[in-house]
Amino acid sequence: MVAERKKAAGGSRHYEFVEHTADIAIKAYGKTVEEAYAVAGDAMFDIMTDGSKIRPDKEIAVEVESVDREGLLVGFLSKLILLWEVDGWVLTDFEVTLLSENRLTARGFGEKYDKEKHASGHHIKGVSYHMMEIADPAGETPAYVQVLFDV
Amino acid sequence: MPWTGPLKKIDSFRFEIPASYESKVMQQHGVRMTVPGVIYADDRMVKAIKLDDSPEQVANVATLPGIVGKSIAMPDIHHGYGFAIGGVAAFDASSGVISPGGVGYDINCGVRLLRTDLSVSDIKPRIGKLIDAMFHNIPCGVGSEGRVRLSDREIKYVLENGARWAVENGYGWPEDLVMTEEQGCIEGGDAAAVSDAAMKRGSNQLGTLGAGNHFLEIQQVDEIYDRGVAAAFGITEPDQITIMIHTGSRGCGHQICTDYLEMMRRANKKYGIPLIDRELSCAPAGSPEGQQYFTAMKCGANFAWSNRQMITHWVRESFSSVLNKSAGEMGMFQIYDIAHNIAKLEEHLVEGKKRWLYVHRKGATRAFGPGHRDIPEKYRGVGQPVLIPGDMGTASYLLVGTEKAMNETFGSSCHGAGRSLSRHAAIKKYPTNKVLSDMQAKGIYLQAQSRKVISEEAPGAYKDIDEVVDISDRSGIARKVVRFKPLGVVKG
Repeated sequence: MVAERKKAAGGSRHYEFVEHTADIAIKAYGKTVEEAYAVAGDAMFDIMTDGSKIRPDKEIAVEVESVDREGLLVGFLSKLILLWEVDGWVLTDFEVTLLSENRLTARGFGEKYDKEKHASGHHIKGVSYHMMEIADPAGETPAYVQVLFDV
Repeated sequence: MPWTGPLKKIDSFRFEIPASYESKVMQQHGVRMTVPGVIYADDRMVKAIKLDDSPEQVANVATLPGIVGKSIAMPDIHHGYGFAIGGVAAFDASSGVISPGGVGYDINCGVRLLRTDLSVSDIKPRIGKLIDAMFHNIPCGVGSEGRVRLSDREIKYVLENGARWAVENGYGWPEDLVMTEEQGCIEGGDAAAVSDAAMKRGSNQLGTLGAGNHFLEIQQVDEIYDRGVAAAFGITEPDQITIMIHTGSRGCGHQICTDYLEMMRRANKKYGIPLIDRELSCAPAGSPEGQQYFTAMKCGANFAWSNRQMITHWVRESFSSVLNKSAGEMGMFQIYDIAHNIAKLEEHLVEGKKRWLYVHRKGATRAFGPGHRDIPEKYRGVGQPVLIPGDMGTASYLLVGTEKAMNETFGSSCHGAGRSLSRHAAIKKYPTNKVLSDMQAKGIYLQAQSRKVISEEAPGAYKDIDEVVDISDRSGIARKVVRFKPLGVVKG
């Protein structure tokens, strides 16, 4: 699977799949929880297409508000589905900033989807709260987010 | 996680989670089940059901305010988000709640069945051409765009008028609407309740099949169990050809669900409803938030009916172009179209009293018994057609709703098989070429947008649909009428 690429690359910024019967769940790691959010964004485009084939030509910014950090994660990833479905953006190399528990800004880099160039993966319908975990430990332990995509 | 809680056998086809059951999460939040949970299954199937903790989800739903009767699960129950898939729950119209989690992301994911006067001998030599024509004419797969791009004004009209929009614009016949649940449009949808984002996701996806488990299938009548009812539905011959369309509201409905989950989480706090699972977020049925979601959900459902209507038109066109006959000459009439994921305001008899209820069906089918006013007049004497799709190599079914369903399950039955293997496990177990050669051996012609989806959707990755349907039939909540076997499939 395409996503194994980033897992194999190791380092703090990587993700792995979590077993689930009907849908696709991932655990995304980063040095900080913000980096973990960003990796979840990268993972999403790896699942929908092939992230390694995305040329980071243009910068796209998003802003999200919610009731809590879980809502911010769902809101951020849901915005990425929207960018892909409505405007045809495929994005990678996300950077995320949590301005507070209720507000997030992010930017990603990419180009318009090209059927010939980018692979066709799974259609992600939505981002669920099911199995959601956000771990933000201090010190050496990496932060991670676990999220399940409805496909 | 396997379920270890109580599951008491009531009779051969029903198992109960008593209302006295209290999980740790319920204790933490200080909530209790107010009604029992009931799962339709037999001894064999209940073992499989206990392998995941979907019964826990049935119990959780029983803690929500205003739930009436029982928290019900169909034999195809499996783990969902918040509510289990295969779940049915009814809430009192004044004291109950409405929850997007009780409907799911794909609002009005559903099935439509067309009958024809064609027989296997007419089709067999041309099955490849027919499937290829449908594959060409009906956009499918990840990121596919519709053949029609709607203006803002048009998308609003679709959201409020459903399949009527499609028929008014030349996609199908007026009688299709008569043979569709809610006649293809739930009244009361108001596009003002739908976000710009949802409308944008919808405007370029109307008339698309999508991906995953959605499909188009040319089928052959394999067995007729009840000749009288089958004839009422337009099925008379073994070997008769039918076409099944399985898809939903696409990005439009998915976005409505996403938008309202966020709103409901705020509403939950506002109305002080303890939230034991974020995906169970809900609002009082009569609150502005509850009503706004219900209005938006109607729009999502209407989008899905319009979507299936347009696909129906292109299916007819595909058949006409390959067989050089008009759809009318081939008798390509619609048997019915039903929703699998929806919430409805319905009147039911509860302990002898008529009550208005918000019935949530998530991965369950409405299965109204004979005589109900919401059934097309032509079928009113026999009951509502209940369409149960299989998956690629497996059988699909046509059942009929019963009086028993009205008494026990708010007029509901099962909706399909449900996965038993994860996508990852299916890819490992069923290499694409093996699935293709197995299907070829069975004489099934397949066109799919991606090779991976062929492995993921391998028939072996799903529960046995025959068992699921048998439990519905033998427990009496729907009766088997016809079984179909696939001849050709289009997968997104």
